[in-house]
Amino acid sequence: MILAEKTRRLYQREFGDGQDYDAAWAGIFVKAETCGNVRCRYSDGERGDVWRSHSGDNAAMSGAAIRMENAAMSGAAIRMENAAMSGAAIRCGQRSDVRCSHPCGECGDVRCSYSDGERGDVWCSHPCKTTTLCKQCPWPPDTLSLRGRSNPALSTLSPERIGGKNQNTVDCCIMADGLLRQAGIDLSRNDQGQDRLDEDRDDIRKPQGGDSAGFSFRRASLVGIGLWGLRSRFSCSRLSEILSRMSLAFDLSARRRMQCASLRGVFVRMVMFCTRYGRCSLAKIRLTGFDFTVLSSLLT
Amino acid sequence: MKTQLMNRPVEQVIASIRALDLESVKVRLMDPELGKGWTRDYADGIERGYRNYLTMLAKYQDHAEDILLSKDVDEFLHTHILPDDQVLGRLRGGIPESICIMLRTSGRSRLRSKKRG
Repeated sequence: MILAEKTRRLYQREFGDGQDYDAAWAGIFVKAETCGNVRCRYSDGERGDVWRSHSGDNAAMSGAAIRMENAAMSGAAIRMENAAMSGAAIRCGQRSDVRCSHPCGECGDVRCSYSDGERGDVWCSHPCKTTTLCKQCPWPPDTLSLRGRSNPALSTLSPERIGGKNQNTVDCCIMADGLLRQAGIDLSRNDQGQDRLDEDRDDIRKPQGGDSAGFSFRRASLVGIGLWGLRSRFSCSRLSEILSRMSLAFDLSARRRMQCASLRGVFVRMVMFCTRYGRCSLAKIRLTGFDFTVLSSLLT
Repeated sequence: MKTQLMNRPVEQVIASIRALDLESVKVRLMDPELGKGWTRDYADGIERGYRNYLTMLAKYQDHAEDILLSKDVDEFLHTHILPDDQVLGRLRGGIPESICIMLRTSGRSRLRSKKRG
């Protein structure tokens, strides 16, 4: 059963028919006429959980609240095999020079080639089955990690977004990276000590101008890669260690208020990444010995 | 093997969910700069949706990982979970049940995904 249908039935069971459960789901009442000619209802089976556009005959799950761009899936629901990603996750951003227009093995005809302009920079609304690497693609680590996920090169921690609203995040990436290195943690290497960054690829990715505001794009890339690695490669115990050391580093630099605020942002994002997309949950991290009182003090 | 998601009765968990003070979350989300600039009415509505979502998780544990939530409710959830010191403060004495449910559910989902993979 597709997830949307399942969700609808559960809400119907709990809140009854009519618009009650719709309102219960979205938190707001949605008038039937508001959906009108726009998206309505829920997903089709073939596309996983992608919300489709059609005029609905059923008020269930209708209206603006549950359209594709508004339907944030639960953390548990964002899976590779179901990669109907939230609006934020599938947006490519403004980078028209980052392209990898492989045809998707599944759909072939549509929407797999992101940043084509015509599709409004929507990357891929379902799992990309790319099997060959594009020479232009600066980020082909392995196809498995790309399936159904946003390109790490386009993550908010990526220098691709330098100058954007995530500038502070990139700034604090640099700081976090320095602190981690000070703590003896090299995020550019995975658990097996393998280098996660190919110098050539980094050169490709390096924007004109190289450095800005006192940090290098390469360094930001490292942190970006590290965070990407955290959510896909590193073990829980490793993550716990990193978080703990970051806690200590954060504490040491508490007098630098602005930087701490930025680092706090990284910290939060790391946890979010790891819990939402990675193999780790906060509960698991806790089990590995991470002291949540530290986290608590960091975020207050 | 069925994973136990809660160590308290469902009714008690739901009561805890209803008792959650989410005012600070709403205030943040209503802030045009720090949050989303929501109106009070809209934030109240999303708060209801969020409580409903948590309630659904508590009631339908077996289906918890399949329950979708709207974008704004998701926004509310993440504003509540991570930056809110009110929630994190309670982590000292034990993760709040509502959050605990989601965390454990998330963990279980990961395990299932791994098995499928």
